[in-house]
Amino acid sequence: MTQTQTQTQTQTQTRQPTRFRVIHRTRYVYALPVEQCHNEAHLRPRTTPLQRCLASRLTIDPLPTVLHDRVDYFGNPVSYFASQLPERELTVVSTSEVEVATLDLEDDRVPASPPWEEVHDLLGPGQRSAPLDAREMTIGSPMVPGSAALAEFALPSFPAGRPLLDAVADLSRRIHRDFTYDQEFSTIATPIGEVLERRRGVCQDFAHVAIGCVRSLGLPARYVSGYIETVRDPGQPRLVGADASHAWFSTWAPGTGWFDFDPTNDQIPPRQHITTAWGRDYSDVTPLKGVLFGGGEHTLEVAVDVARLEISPTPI
Amino acid sequence: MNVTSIDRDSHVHRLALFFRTLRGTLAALAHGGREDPRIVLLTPGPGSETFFEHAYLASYLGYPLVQGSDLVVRDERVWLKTLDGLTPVDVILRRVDDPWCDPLELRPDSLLGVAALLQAVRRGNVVVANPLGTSILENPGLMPFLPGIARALLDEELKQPSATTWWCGDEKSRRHVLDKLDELVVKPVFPHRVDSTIFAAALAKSERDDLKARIRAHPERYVAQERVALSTTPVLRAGRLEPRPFVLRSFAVASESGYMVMPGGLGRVSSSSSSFVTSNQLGGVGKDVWVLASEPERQVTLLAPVERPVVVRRGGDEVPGRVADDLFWLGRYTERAEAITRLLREILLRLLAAERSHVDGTVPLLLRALTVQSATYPGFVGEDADERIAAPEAELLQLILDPRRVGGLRYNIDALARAGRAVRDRLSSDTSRVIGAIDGELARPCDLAAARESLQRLIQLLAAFVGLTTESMSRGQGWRFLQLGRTVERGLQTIALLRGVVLPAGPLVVPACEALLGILHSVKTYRRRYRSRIQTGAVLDLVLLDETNPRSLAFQLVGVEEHVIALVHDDDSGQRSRAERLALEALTTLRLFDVASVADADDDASALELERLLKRVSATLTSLADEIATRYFQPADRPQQMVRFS
Repeated sequence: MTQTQTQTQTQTQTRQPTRFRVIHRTRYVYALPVEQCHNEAHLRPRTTPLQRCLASRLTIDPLPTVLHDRVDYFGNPVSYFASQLPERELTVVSTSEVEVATLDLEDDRVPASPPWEEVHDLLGPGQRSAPLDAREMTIGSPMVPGSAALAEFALPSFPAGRPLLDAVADLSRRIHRDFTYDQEFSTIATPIGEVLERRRGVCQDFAHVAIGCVRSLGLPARYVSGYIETVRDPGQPRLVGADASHAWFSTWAPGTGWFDFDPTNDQIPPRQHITTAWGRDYSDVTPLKGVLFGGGEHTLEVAVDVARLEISPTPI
Repeated sequence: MNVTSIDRDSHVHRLALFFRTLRGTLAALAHGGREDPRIVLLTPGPGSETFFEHAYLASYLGYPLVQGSDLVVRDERVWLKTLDGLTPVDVILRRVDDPWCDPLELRPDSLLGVAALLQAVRRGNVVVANPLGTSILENPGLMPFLPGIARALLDEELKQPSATTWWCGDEKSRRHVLDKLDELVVKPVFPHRVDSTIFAAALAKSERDDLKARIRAHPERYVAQERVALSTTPVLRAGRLEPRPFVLRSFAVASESGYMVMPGGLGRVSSSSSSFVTSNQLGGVGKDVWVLASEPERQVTLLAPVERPVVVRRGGDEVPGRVADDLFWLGRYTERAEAITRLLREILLRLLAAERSHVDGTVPLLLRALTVQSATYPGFVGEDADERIAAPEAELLQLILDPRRVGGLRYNIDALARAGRAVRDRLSSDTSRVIGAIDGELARPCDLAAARESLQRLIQLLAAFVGLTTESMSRGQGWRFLQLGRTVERGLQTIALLRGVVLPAGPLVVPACEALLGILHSVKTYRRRYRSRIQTGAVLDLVLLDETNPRSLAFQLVGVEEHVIALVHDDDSGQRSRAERLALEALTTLRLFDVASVADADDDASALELERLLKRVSATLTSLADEIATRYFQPADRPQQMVRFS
């Protein structure tokens, strides 16, 4: 359902793929015993046209009474697990090895694409040629409801006749330029309108703003959840969002298929990006969520480590 | 001619066959063809505008009426939490809207659903009817396409055409809609909400232009429908009949031989004669709809003869903790309402008589007792109390009529009615009617004389309620909690009354004793025993210690102990539970009290002795109520989200 053509990307793919190991550790400590909890995790990286998940392991402590994996509507692996003994702690460690193709785009130049109005018409009512997974990403979603303010922010990037991917690249650059990365400002619950108004937030917020802007013009945009390489070379600055899970967004163009942008780092993934899952917004692909009984207040620790591996001749 | 006889004489189509089919279909849905599947009806609760239907349907079908918090998912199965433990659930008849059914996978802010319900459904361990997701069929975006869908799938025309609907995503349709907007009703397709219907003709010009602009910007998100003139039905308002637009809700159930349509239905009548909106959520009212048969119908009941003999069994009344909680509080609010009603009646009796003759010396005493008993301070106690005692009407009327006056009569009636509604499926229809009548008293402003009439009726209605629950509820756990709530509260109220009436009077004076006997309904008993000599010791013996007097404190404590012992216990060690120990302690403390120690000495020391006793029993009863709540009502069971999305 979500297999789309990525001809252009495949053609420009000249280097050897990169192999990463991702360790994502989440630990909740509760003030009171949790009598029962139900959880859903989007922690196993999916396979995409540019990425292969070679191995993934989910370690849950204390051992859950139930653990079942399935594939969600968007094709992402998702794990349900439940625990029904009184516990004061929950630690979930996801360890994966992923092979990612490297895009070789000169100066981050995007592939050619039709004018954005044409793409809009192609996805519009009565058109059957565009894939459903692109058409369904043109409408609002729980955390990204449409608004006039989003359309207003988007418009300067979308002059008449501009190729879609150029326009979206410009939008992504403007978000990077105009917004301040501020971990103190927002939480997951901060509404997108406030992020837009105050021009501050974290990678989830920037992805949501971008998605809202693109959709406000009747164009498709989806949320991508994943990781970014912690440190590439000694001496290079750490990338923003590296110590936690990362997020960016993707838009769809005919001929190219889904094409990613990272407004937080003003990059075109995948450079050092590993995709876990995609959906309409954060709420579809929350890395780890749950409903619990008891527990009281909690503290949360998240640690992510992304390491580049030497490709061994034998598969793991 | 009353409604019941119209129903009987009009050959109304009976609905029992429809509901028998519904029951058969639901039973057949259970996986593995289970012999006696456990079916529950899931409701959003008494806050829902259709809760009455849910409660009625559940008790008619004989299914437990449950709320999301009564169910739990364990091992990917759904269980009903009862006082006896967890009972598996095979089929859920669902009356909660799709997005609210599972806070794990659907709306995270929902408290109406069951966490991980979707996972249980996915694993095939429970069947939900209608299946989750079916609400998509109610989306108006589908309506323009239904005729085409019927032709494509069935090669048939629609059996019942709906109002012509245009989808604005189609260019020709859009032009038509924008041209004729004033004649149309516009409905957003996404997100679809019941209250989002727009009557274009009712809009101001600027609003209409705004709507047009929105349609032009996102035409695919709107449908427009021809405005059909709704039929009207007469409604009785302020003594006159007036026509009101109404819609008919009909029901169908799948069976082995196709769909069966209910020969009847529910009407929704709009909230005003000019409004077209009939949704219950927006103030519409419901009407019963009868379909007349051409000849008298054979009586069909749900208790149809079965092919196999029924296995005789007792019980069948698994009580969820939440229901026990509501029944316990229904009992407590009933007693609170009664205690305050009796005291108020006694006050008004004297007050209204006093206007004609002399001022009754006990009125100030009773007014102060009213404040103490209902805990509505400052009231007739404290600073400036004398002024209010001299002119008590305003404060009295507020206590009687104001639903926001915590502890007042109307406040307690509201709480009683709310608890009653929440457990409606557990009460007989007569009992529910009595609760309705109680709720109807003192609902409008009135003067003290009219209030006195109401108080008189209330005392009878409350007695009717207690009588009906005694006569018609089976002695299961539910009844125990209702009775426990009543006896605990009556005990506490009796103590509060004694502290309010007897103690402030200093030495135990005769007028206070007289008033006490009147309020506690014990005047006749006293006279039979002691003729007319009022003596403190004898009065206290009658209202405190006499275990044969149903109004005495001792009588309540004997009842409390009996009910606590009869509750389910998960401990089979043979030891007394904490609740049992507390009940025993309260009763023993009272039994060991030497009434002579306060009767002989008319001084402050004896008052102090009595105060000490009342305090101790009161504290023990309060601890007992807390213990019951902790042990049985699962107060900590409110789910929380690990990640807060909003």
